[in-house]
Formats: sequence, structure tokens, C-alpha cells
Amino acid sequence: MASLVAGANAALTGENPGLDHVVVGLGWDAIPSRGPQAEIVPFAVMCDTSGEAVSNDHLVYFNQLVSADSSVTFVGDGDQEQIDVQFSLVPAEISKIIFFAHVDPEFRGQGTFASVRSAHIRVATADNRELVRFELSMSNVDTVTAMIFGELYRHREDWKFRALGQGYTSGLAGVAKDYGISL
Amino acid sequence: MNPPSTPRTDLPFLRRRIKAVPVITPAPVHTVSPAAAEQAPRPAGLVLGGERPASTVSPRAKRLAEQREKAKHEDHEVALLFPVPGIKDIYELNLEHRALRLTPLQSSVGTLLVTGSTAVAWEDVRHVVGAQTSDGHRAGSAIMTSGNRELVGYHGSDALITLRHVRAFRRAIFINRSNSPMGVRLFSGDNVALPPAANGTQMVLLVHRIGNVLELRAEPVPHDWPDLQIWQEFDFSMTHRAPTSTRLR
Repeated sequence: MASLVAGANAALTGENPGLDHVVVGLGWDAIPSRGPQAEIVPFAVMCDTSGEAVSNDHLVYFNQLVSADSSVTFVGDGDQEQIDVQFSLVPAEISKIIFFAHVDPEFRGQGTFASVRSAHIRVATADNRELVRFELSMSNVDTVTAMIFGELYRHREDWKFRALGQGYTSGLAGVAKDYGISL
Repeated sequence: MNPPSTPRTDLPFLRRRIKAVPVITPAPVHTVSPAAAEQAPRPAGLVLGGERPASTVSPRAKRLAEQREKAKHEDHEVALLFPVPGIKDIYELNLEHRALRLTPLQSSVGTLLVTGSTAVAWEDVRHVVGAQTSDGHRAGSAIMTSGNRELVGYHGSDALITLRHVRAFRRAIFINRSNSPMGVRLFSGDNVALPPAANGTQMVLLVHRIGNVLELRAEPVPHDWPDLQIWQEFDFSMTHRAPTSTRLR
């Protein structure tokens, strides 16, 4: 198991020949509250070579469980949420899959990542052998309302993982703007 | 006494059998796609005694297959629907434009806000039913979510649906007794209006989930019908005792 720092990458299929199915787990530990609390929602976005979502059908999350090509599947178990990726089913036009989480934009009070004490993203095999893990820094996140955790991306014939940990103060709208998601 | 490290050759009848050392190779990462798993050959007839045939389907592959089946079912449900406009296409739901449908993303982000309503009744996927009026009267059962907010309810004078938990939502009906129109607003800022009562007819807003999308319908009912009659007409029967856990994940 390798632990990454922000910006670092790890070869997945290069180091693990024959690897086709990975489980990307996103987890966080939030301070519990008796009152209304921020609800964090993870997403996977399948992007083309321009770095933008191919379409809204290429989002995978709790209300769109499977991508049209069945390569990315939202499972939601174990860590807070899990998203499975089968590399052999990912269409050639997809150059990367980003994983982010946003605080649901709640009318009754917008929360932030301030209540999140720790967060991680990890990539494991289908039988839960952890390949890489990235612990995100949770300092100065009081105004952060969305966070890019990491991305899977093609590198020649291989798939790699890059740790990111990039915060947004503009929430889902900000991520949508950067990645061409139509709200 | 320690056993000798080499076999004694002077005692042929006690010759030790030297076992061949098995070559241990790391097990390759084995993944079974659900499709492949479904195609795995099954033994014909009964297997009496002997080894049970090993299952080639990992729990993970089963879970994936379940999720794909669920998504396929939802897609099928949505595909069967009559085409209706989206919320960006119309300004008002009325007798001419009776229905609109949201996209999966619009149906699941933030809060669906309804302004100008005077009462709402809701039903979740477990058929727990409740109602509330804008002046605070309640009937039936409230449905709390893991974010410690109600799935459907009032916040001040605005009624709302917590879309983060839309998968737990089945339907809701919004009633307007005022002379002002009702309005529906999404996180994206997109909105649509429903006209106030006219000519003895009032429009109620019926929001219901089909698969992973919400459909909004304007339903005309006689203006003199009380709320109770509207609930009955739309088959909202209040749940006075909710199941043990009304808290949703």
C-alpha cells in the first residue's frame, strides 16, 4: 500500500499487471451534530481529453448509479461511499475520471467542510487489497464547500491515480463550471 | 531428540519420503465481471457428495450486478414515460402544460423549494405519510433524514423537499389556498409557476419520483374541496404510527 501526498501519482495497471477492476473509496469523519448538519455527496465525473465531463450521463453518484457504458458504478458501502471502475469497459474517449465530494447546497443553511476532521480517498482491488491511499489535509477548510479528492487517468496504455485535494468555496456550481457539468 | 536433518540410508524400511516443494506463485488479481459470472457453466444435475462447486461470483461482483440491474430498471421506467418538457422549457404549469420532468441531477441536488403553498402532504418509499400546513399544523408522520432535516416540510412559509434524500421520497402534493401563484425553484435557479385558483378550480402541485427523476404535475381540483378531500382523492392516508426507525440514511 502506498500513501500519497497531494499532487503525487501512482501507477495502477503498470504496477499490477492484469488489474481491471478497482474500488475507489471516499471516506470522511465529521463532527456529529444534533442539529442540521452538512451532508457530503461524492461524485465521479468521466472526462474527455478536454478535461470536461462528456455529458451529464457521465456522472456517477447516488442518483445515477451506473454510467451508460457500465464501466463506473456507485456502490456506497464500506468507506462512506465506494465507486467501482472497470478499466476494460471505460470508453476510449474517456481520459480521466475525477472523484469529488460537495456539501449539498441546503436552503436551510449551507454547510462547509469545517465539520470534517479527516477525509481520505483510496484505491483498492475488487477483493479490497488497498493499492494507494491519500489522506486529505483538513486545515483551512472552513469555507470549502466542494473538494476534488483525486483522479484516475490514462497514461499511454496504463491507468494511474493522482491525489489532488483541491478545495472549492463555490461548491458544486464551481466544480460544475470547471468540469462542464450542466446544472 | 532432534530428528536427523538427512534421511538415514542405513535403514531402507524407514526411508523418508521427500515431498516436492510446491511452487507458490502470487495469486493474480482475479476479477469476475457479473456478465461473465452469469455465464459461468453450472454442473448439470445433482452433485451428490464430493466437493461443492465453487462459486465464481464474488460478493463484490454480485453487488455490482445488483446496482446495474437497479439502474437498468430505473432507466427502463424513465424510458417508458411520455415525453414532457423540462423546467427550462416552460414558465408555468397549467391546464395546457400539465407536467414537466426534471433531470436526474436536478432531482437530487439541494432543495426543491415551493413558495406560496398553504399545505403539503408527503409519502416516502416505505409509504409513511404525513402532512403539514404553512401555519404549523401537522398530521401523520414526519420523515427525518440523516442530515437531521425533514424530507418534506416547511421552512418559514416555504415548503421544501430535501433532494439529497430523493431516493427515499415517493411523492408529495402541495395545495395553495391563497390568491397568489405557487412557485417552484431549484438549486440551479430554474423555476416554474402554478396559477392561483380561478373559475372554481384550483391547481395542486403533485411531485412524484419515477426512477431517478422527479415529475411535477399540475392537477386541477374543485376550489371548494377541503385539504382532507384532496388527500383522499390522491390517496394520501396519514400514517399515525411510523415504523420504529423513521431516520433515513
